Amino acid sequence: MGMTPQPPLTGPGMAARPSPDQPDALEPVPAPDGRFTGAMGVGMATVDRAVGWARANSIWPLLFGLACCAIEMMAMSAAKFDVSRFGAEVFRTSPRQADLMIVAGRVSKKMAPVLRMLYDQMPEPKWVLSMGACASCSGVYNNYALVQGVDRIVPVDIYVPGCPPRPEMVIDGIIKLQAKIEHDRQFGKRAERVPATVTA
Amino acid sequence: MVMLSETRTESGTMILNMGPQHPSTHGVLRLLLELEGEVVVNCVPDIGFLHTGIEKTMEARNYHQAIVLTDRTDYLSPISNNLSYVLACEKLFNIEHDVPRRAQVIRVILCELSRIASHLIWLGTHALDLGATTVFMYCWREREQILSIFEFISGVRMMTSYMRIGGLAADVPEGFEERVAGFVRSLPPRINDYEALLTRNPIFLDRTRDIGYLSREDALKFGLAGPCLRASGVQFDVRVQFPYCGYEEYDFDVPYSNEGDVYARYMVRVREMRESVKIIRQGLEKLKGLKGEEYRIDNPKIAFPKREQIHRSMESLIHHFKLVSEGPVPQPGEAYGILESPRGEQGTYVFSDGSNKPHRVRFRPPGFYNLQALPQLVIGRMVADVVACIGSIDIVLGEIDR
Amino acid sequence: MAESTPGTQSVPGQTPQSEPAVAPPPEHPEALQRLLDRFPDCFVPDWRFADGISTAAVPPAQLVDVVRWLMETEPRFDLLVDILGAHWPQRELPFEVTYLFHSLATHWRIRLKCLAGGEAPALPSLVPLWPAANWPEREIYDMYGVAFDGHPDLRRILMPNDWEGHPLRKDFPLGEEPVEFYRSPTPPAAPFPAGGDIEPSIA
Repeated sequence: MGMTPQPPLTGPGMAARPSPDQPDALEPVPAPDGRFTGAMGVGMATVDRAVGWARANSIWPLLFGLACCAIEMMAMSAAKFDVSRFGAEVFRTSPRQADLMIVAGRVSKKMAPVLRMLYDQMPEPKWVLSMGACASCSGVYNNYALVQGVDRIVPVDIYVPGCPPRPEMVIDGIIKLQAKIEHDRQFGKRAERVPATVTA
Repeated sequence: MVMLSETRTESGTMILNMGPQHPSTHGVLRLLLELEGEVVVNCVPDIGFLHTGIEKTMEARNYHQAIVLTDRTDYLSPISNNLSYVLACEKLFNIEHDVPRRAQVIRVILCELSRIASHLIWLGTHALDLGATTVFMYCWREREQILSIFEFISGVRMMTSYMRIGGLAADVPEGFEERVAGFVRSLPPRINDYEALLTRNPIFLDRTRDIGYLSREDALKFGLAGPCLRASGVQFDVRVQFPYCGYEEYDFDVPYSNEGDVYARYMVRVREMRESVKIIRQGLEKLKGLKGEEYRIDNPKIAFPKREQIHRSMESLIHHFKLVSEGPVPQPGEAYGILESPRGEQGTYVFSDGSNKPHRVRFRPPGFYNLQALPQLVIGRMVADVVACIGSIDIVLGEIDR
Repeated sequence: MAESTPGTQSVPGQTPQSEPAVAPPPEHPEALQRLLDRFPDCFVPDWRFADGISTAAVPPAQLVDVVRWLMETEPRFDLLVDILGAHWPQRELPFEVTYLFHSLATHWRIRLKCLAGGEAPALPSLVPLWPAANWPEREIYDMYGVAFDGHPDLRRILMPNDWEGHPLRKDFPLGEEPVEFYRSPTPPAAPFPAGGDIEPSIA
């Protein structure tokens, strides 16, 4: 029994390590783009894709308006633009049920801890869309009151420029984010994203 | 910062934190509600979550550059903000009576369009808060038409920055009148649609009638403005009492009501939209006789010379350079420019110390004073009525926190 | 506004150069004249009010009395339009608080000015008379550090509670951060300087 070589193990959580008996066995390490390769990679990649497809097409944004951009965000979900065509219309008012935070507007230093708390309350996986110039870099208001870019407090996945961006631009941002979600690694650890802290 | 959602006090009441992230606070307003069961015992608004430092930033820009910053205070009607700042500057530069008539008429038309757009957002979100989704979709449809007109004239949907000291940034393009005329033709039947959905809807009536009552005395005590003040029986409208941009030539009614409740504020605003349509129609009539006239004051020390002149004359080029690099320089003094924004008396106070940058700019935000009266509206009422009351005073946190 | 001459008031020393020197200042509008008669310590400041609203400078000790008198005497000024602050660092009393009142009966307007200064600038609060003064006074306290004696709830309103400094004071920096452009060949530009490029024509 002990002499028979072990068959290569497949399945989630099991790693088939290269051994003297099986020098050809491959370790299923994720490639730099997050996909699995190797013996178990085939199965994982299929699941990964399916989950990614499902996640990308059922984004639930957090209903969280800050300033002017929030009006365009509402316009995006209302008549004429109708973001539900792209599967991102279920605005949730509770961060516990949302997976996309659209930072729509300028973030003041008074608001920053609240925003960070909302982000922390959202379950993984979660994404952040920085909508408009103010959220991305504080826009025309480079001053004491605003956080100079929301990426200092939460990790941002996609920036949409404009002041405010047209609803089409936000929809475009969401479509690009969907592509990103779909091709991202769905299981295991995502790329390390260390958020910066707010400095007054 | 207390971010607890519920806290029990010693007297058995409960502190409920509403906002800053709440769908019905219309922005980042935070309310601390003290509840006894479901009845609001006390209400403490907490504002400042959108404090942008606009006034301070304007002190570091010259008089022209500051126009861009004004847009984002009251972001539902950016044109009113532009205009109130520009009116104050025109008083400061002593050119308030020299602004060309064509510019005045276009200003009036745009202001009324932005009033309708703002009221549409108010109506849509207010109805949505009370559970009527259809009205929201309808209102947004009409608002898109107004925004497409704004985009047509300025290239931007919301933040147009179309006003300039002494006139407008540019003349309206060919076809503006037809588009506006088409819009005002289509709007009144659609207001009828909204009214058909809401005005006699029993659910809507139950949630708005006798809710959030504010007496005339209280309205004055808290310094309310605009439709909120008029819904409490005070007939004060800046367009009538302190006419600007030639409002005295227009024939329109100022709707008011003595009821003072949420429903009265709804009725006043809906009727205001109809009056705005009337004003726009008269403005379009006036504009017919002003074809090809000047749209900006011809004063090279204050207003930009026209593009054709810059191409042809050296002097205009120098003036343009001076205006861009240095900006116009007024005499020392101060001026208060007011207009009736969709939310009430919107004022801009500009102090000049004789340099090229304003010494101090202050916005008089109508929402700031209206929101101050919110505890008066909600104390003694149910929690669910708080949403109706917030919706009825039509706050925009951008102008409140500035 | 309604009750006064439009444009500039001809105050000696502040007359625009383009106009010939006007000898006597125009007679004060009715409301202002009555106020000046009743309170001799008030006076019209030597300053250009380009909007033509009649203005009186009031000693802080008399402010509450003046406002009560305005509220109660015909025409009653029954709407508090605005309270705002300004900071003039060169002046002896650097903080100027402006009150704007409106009368609904006549649609007159009147503006009062109060000055504060010293180590702990303070003015009497109008909240006992006008509930509307509550938030504006808190805002001035927040932005300028001018305290209001008698205010029931004087704390910061726009800035966070633990904020240090008063943002709208002239010695408070704007707090701009230089923008660094990606692969910029030049070093980041200096932020906009606060205050005018041109020397102010007044001290």
